[in-house]
Amino acid sequence: MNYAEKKINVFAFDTYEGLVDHFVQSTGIFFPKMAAGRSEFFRAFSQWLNRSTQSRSRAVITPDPAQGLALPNALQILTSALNQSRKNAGTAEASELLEKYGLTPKILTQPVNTLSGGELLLLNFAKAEAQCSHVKGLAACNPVFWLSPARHKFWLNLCDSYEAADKNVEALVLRGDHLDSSSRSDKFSSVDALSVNLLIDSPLVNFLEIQFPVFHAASKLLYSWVSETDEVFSPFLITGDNGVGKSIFARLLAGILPISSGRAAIMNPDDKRTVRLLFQEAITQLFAMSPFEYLGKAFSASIALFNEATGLFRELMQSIYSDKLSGDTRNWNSLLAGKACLIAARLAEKPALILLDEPGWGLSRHDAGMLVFHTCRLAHQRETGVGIISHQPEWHDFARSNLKLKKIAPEQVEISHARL
Amino acid sequence: MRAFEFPAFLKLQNLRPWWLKMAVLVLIGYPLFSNRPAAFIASAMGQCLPETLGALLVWPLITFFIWACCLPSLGTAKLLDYLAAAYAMAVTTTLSGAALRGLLPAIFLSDPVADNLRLMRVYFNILAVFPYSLTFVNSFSVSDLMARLTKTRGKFRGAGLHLALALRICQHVGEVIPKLLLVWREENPELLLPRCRDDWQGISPLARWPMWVVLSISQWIFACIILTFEPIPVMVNEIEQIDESGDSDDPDKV
Repeated sequence: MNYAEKKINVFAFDTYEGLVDHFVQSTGIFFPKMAAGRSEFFRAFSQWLNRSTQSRSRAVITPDPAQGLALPNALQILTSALNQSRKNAGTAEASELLEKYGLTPKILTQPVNTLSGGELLLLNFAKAEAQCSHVKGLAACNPVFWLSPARHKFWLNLCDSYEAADKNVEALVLRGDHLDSSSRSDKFSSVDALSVNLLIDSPLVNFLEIQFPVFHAASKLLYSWVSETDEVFSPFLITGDNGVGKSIFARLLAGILPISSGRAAIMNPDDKRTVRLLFQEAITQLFAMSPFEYLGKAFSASIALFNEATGLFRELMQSIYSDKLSGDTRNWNSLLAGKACLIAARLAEKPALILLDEPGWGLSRHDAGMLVFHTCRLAHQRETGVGIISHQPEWHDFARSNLKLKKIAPEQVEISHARL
Repeated sequence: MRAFEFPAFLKLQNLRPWWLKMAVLVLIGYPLFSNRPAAFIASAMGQCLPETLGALLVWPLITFFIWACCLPSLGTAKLLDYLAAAYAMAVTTTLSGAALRGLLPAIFLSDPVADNLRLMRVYFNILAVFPYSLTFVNSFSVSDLMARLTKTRGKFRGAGLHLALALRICQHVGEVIPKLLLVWREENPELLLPRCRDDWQGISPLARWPMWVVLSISQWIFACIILTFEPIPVMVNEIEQIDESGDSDDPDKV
């Protein structure tokens, strides 16, 4: 895909915080840095309240794609955007836009907070397209990060729409992103494989019907394991198209989504060992606290584990920054620190498996590689397996097994395993 | 799984026009804003029942009435979700209220029977107000309101946009809680006990759990506030965009 041919102004940043600062400056929209903690949030929010008003006539895709969708479902988001240009839009127009961006109209009434990262980004594209006629341009953050490579074309389609309307497009990305042509193609260091046995016995998840405020039909998802062996090798990769159910599968393994029938777990002789998960939107897991505040609260009833987690956090940060080319400018309240802290807190408990859902989100390619490499190194020392859920092709060289999820029927997903 | 569905005409969110919906919702919630309905029912029941029993029964009756009105709109599953949260809040409030009354009798000087009745009333009020207010707020569509405002001019437009923003923020609170609950479940699978509690052996059982609960409540309060506030700037931006698009289309604008 040749992005260089497109008239897109691409700005690449080393850190998420740098990207957010530029986004705020360029669009005038306040965007909080949640890893900075409560007091920083309230300080920045009150500063925003006292700001002077400026023109807002740009479509935006915010650093976290969920934040740009201010209404509860796709139907309301798209009709509201279309109605701004007096189109009197309804369900038909909204469905058409969704289909144009590779989404099924079934998600029209689905609550936005239950959509996957890729679906959220594609919905942002559909909304930006709806706004195209009445805005002056588009500012998009990490516009292809959440997408499987086959869906990158939708970003180009959106750029084409803005180009045809003679409106400028600004893309803010992190160093090493697909849109960043200046990046080096550095390879990640590899770690020794660790054997992990999964027990996937046709787990079925039922999603109940929603009657209020908008009706959304019930659905279900059945996973079937089609490999001969249960043994996979850590670090293993979980891949598949957008919306196939990777994050749901991770939540099943972590035991935070109820399974209606069947089983999804990890086989380990010591039943007390658990499966821990780092969400796609990991920043929410800090519960609006800074990394050190979080560690204090998470281990308020266990001083030994608090010390262990704090030590691991410091070690992770030290390892990542010692490899940084730009020198040690460590920020303990950054998104990188937030992720390192959440991983350290999970590793301290010595789980059987830790799952990292899109660990590279909000990080430059170099930082993401360092974070995952050192996480695997520390995890394997503790006999903890690591699973990475991602679309990013660079993990293929790093991972030792690949679990590929593929939809074989509307409500059935097949999981195949391949040794890498 | 297909849940039982109530007829569409019983669902408050389907009522049109908006002012009729508003009037019906206010009428349903009237016993929560005013003491008159409760006093009237209590006096009516007082004619055939002992006086205290009438006063005891009136609040559960009103609560059941409000649940019954909300049930067709919400559906059984959603109502039970809301009631779970309402029960947790009601039990916490009344138990802490009772404990404070026991600990600080000088401040709460009054008749113990009246005090107990007041606590019971608070308990049932919370059970009714929680599902009622969420039904009220979510019965109106912000996008419909915004669509209507894009076609209007004049002094009501600005006020309407502010109302749309306020309504959306209230709706957003209901979306933040399930998100945090998922995070909490990953962190503390037993929900009411911390995942890591190695040091609890050395602490009195009377102190350790209440201490953890207080800490958790403060965590939840801050997280709910911050995550509710977090998308406000983007919402404001959208509202301002509508406002600006309206201004630019206005032929009278100088």
